Amino acid sequence: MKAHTGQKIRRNAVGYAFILPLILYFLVFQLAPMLIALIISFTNYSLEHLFDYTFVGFENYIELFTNSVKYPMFWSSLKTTFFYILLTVPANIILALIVSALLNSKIKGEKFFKTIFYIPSVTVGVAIMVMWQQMLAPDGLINQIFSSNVDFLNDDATALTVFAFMSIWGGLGYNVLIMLSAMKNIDPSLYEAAEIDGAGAVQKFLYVTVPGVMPTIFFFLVTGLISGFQVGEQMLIIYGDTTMVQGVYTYVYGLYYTMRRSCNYAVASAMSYFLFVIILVISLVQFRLQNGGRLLSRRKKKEAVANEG
Amino acid sequence: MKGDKMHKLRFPRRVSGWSVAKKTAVYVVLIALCLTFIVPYIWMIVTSLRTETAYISTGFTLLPTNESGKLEFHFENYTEALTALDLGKVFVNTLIVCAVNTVANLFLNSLAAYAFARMRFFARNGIFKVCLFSMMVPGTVMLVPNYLICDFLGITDSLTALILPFVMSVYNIFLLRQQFMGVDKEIEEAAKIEGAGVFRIYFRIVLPLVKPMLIVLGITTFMWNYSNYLWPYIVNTDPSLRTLSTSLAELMGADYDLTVKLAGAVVVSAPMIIIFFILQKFIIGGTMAGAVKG
Amino acid sequence: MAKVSLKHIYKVYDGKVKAVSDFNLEIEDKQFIVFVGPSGCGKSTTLRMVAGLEEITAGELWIGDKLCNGVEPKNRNIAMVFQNYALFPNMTVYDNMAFGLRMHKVKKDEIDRRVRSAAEILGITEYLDRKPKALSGGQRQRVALGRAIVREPNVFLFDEPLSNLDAKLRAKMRTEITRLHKRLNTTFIYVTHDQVEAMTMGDRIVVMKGGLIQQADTPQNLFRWPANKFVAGFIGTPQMNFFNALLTRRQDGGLDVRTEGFSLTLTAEEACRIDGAYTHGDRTVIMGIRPDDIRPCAAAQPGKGFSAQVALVEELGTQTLIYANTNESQLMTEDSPTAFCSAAGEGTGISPGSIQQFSVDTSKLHFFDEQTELTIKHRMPVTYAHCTVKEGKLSILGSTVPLPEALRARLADGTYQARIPEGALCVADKGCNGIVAEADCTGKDEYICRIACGNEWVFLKHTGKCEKGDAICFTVRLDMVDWLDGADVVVKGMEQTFRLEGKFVRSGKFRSREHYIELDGCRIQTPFEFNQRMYDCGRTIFKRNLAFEGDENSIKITPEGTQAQVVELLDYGEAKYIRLKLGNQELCVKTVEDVRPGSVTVTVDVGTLKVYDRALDMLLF
Repeated sequence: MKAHTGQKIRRNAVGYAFILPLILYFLVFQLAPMLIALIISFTNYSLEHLFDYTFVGFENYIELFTNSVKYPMFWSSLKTTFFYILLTVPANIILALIVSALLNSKIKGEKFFKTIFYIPSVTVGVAIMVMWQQMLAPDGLINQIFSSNVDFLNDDATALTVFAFMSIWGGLGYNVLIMLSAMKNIDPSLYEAAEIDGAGAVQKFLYVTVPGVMPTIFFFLVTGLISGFQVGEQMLIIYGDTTMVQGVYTYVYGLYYTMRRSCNYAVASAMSYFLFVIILVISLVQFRLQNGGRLLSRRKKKEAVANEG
Repeated sequence: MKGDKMHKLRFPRRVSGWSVAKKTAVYVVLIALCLTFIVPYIWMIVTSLRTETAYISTGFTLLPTNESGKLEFHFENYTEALTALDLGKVFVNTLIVCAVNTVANLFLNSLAAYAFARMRFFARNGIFKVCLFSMMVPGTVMLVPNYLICDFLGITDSLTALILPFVMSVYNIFLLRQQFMGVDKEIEEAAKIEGAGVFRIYFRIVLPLVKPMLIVLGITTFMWNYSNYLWPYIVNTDPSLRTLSTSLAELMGADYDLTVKLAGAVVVSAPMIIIFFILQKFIIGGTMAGAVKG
Repeated sequence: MAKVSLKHIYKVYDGKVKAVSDFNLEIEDKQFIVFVGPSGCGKSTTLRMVAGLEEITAGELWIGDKLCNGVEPKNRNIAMVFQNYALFPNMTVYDNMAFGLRMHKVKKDEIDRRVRSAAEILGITEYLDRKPKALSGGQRQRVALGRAIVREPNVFLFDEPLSNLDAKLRAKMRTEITRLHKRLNTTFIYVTHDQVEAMTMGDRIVVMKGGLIQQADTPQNLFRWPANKFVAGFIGTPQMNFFNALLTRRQDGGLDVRTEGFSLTLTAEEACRIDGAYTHGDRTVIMGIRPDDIRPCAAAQPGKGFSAQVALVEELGTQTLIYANTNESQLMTEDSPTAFCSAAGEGTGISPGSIQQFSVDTSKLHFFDEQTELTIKHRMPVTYAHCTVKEGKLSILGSTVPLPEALRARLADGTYQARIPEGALCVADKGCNGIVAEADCTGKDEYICRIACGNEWVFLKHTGKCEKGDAICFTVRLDMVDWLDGADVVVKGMEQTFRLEGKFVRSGKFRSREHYIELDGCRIQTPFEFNQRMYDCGRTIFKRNLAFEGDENSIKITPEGTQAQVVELLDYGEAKYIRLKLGNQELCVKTVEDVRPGSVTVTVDVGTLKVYDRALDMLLF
């Protein structure tokens, strides 16, 4: 074990030279902000206390959770977010599955369809919002088609559903691409085997395709949850800083409101951290499940080998 | 015998009627779905060329027509939108931000990714894990902290504030590292034996090998910066620093005809969609490849 | 143009997984050497250590007369051809070949000259402007060769270069590389898992398994004298047949070989190289017979053949492979202990199911220990000799000498068998006399002689010309001989080296730091050079369990030094040994001085010690 010290130092120096930009970037724009925000979330730093802020301990958090007078929308915004997730995640998965399966059934024009579905993914988000806002207006295209007169975006009953629809519509292209590539990775001999065993199209879909893309479904579930908790940008574009429509007041929308309107940075930081904790929990559960599954399958493999021998 | 029937000659059936029906059904569903994607865009383009009164009185048409159904192109919607957007200024801003971020991202990310993939140095895996962990922190959560740090650095209300926080991306490093690890090690070893130094191996040998991925990441980085709305909206309030997205949002909230607003949306989104159609092979291929790895 | 020597090279991953152990090899200049073995045997790792792509954990690598541990690959003047060709896909063939020269700042027109002449040699001139993607596998391999050639290196390294080619192309490239070796006249080191490639290409072959060299020798010697069952089975197609057998010495000095299915008889001459410890009829050994040495015949002589039922016949054109079994009931069992394969000429007319006589070439049998699988039929065997001890005299190999002091107490009057190791026999002016019965040339001026000495055979290495029938005189170093009574060792020969276990420790503050070898119950201070070498082994050196191996030069009795106890003095006449107690460990070492049992002081010359890591069983230096 001859340690060629000079060589080692050089190796380290070269390695660190390569990641030096990353380290600087990481410290300034990842680590430092996180720490500053954490500290601030324990103060009363806001527009009124820009220079005379003091530490208030967990007060911001406690107030958020308990003071329904000061933060009346906190819990209801979480509920709204939950609703939004319930509307989008399953629909996203099911639609991606069906459309991918259709595209994967050896049809012509697969590439054409993929391209069309992907257009929203490359359209500037604000432009999409402009488009939908006008289409969903009381005199917009949708109402013209159904000859109705609903103000979708300003009606508590419909607004959230409409946002969910827009998100599903916009994400379909990307989801289909991911799902489709997962489906193409399934060993074709599995389909042949199923066919020989007498499986029809539906059975093949249920017993070969779905289990085969289970990791992707799981991936959609997790990313759907994580991005679902962060929904709010669309509402911000449509309504601006403040809205009368309570049905779309999501958690992150409330966060923007607190930051931009009330300029209460301390509470906004606290809200950010609470969101972070939620997402962290989701990620950890996902990590646990995934690793657990992997361990399990490894153990199974070992057993199989042992049985063979 | 009379009972003998003349059998009709028949070719073996290649395709059963049932499967033809199934295929047709698949196409019908897909085309219907396609329409929900195309129609809004057609509607947007067509309506952006009409007058608002014509739109209200006749509703959806496939071609831009006036109230009496005659073809009419109202390009003045676009001139109005361009002035409202302050397009010249805004476009330059956007271009600067996108170009700088794309180039910086490709270079700096690949540098770090290569180090993580191939070099051995103290605490390599530890640093990488910390970076990966930071990927779990969603952008929304970082919004407030990042705003505060930019405020602290005194770069709010400047283009720098749109560039620096996005000059690197851990996710891109992760993807590139995967790519680099997929490069045949023998090629690098061959170069090493031939006498090439570390940087040369990285720049001359390995980087050209992951060119497809670099193109994909370049496009996605460019697009992401192009359509990024929230951050510019939060960090810059000065109207002269608006980007296409923020400017369009401003237009959207202001009191303009819907035709002008749509014209603005068309102007802003057209470049990216055109680029997409030109480079769709890379974008779709890259997204799918990334999906397999991720 | 350089010789390469690998001295006790180890590769250990993560401080525990040994990929290569104690790799010792001298590669002569201009030699074509092949590392062969199954996958994961460490052959590629060794090559990559020579290339500088892997760090050497312990040991020394010399290329030419330069110590190359830790030298950058580009400064080793080597070139390497990789398994997957490793061509740079974004460069043309020309640029690929020129790359290394550009890196070494060779002049432009020189680069052009070398690239074009290499392309000429390999017949790839017309592809110079193409990208590797547009080439076939064989052409790519040629470009990879070309890239190595233009560098004009001292050593060519090949890492399984042909394994990605189809069989036909592989055979063609094989001859091409051999021809290239003749033409370039440079040292080639070639790694492959294909024994045919190894046998046809190599001047010398290193067979590896599990990170250890199994045997390193010429193709012929590997084939004729495999060092163990693995080498025997690995080299040669079809594979050698193995049987469990019992060996019994016959009255006439020959040997009876009994297996489950048949028996064979060996003449004394055929049996003389088989280790005597296995011929008592009570130890199962593994017998190996190559298919070429079992041939079908009309009627086999007793003891030279047997009959068996044929299971399968494979006609290969010039050769016919006959799979047969002496046990009918196991005819179709794949790994029946009585199944074997026989290789006959073309057109034998033998049909499956028939009973067939087979004759065995009993001079070409191989025997291996059942547990260790090492050969027990050595080219240079240990000599066994009968001897008689009577009234303080020892009669051995026709001469009578006084029994040395040290043996007098331990060998009672009677007859014994002496096991005389290789080093204990040396040619001398007087002593035992014999006639050379066989002189086996093993190299330039090196012979292994079988000497008839009375009715016994003695094997000794002889330097210089020697022929059958020559009279020869030799002496036996009695201190190295093991004395046996039947199968029991009565007195063991003296070891020439000793081994101490301990640790390396340091004490004191930075300026007055002192370093010791700490043995159980005593410590020996170590000098600066030794400490530096220890430090070179890494920070963990102080935690490791070490062993120190020394010989007669390592320990001296001096007026001052470490306290030790002399337990016993063993006087063999020309050689004296003392048993020393150093701390709580005993060691036995050759000495020139006359000492009495009791307290002495000794000095250990730590510079001559070999240091081992006990946990890894690894020679550190």
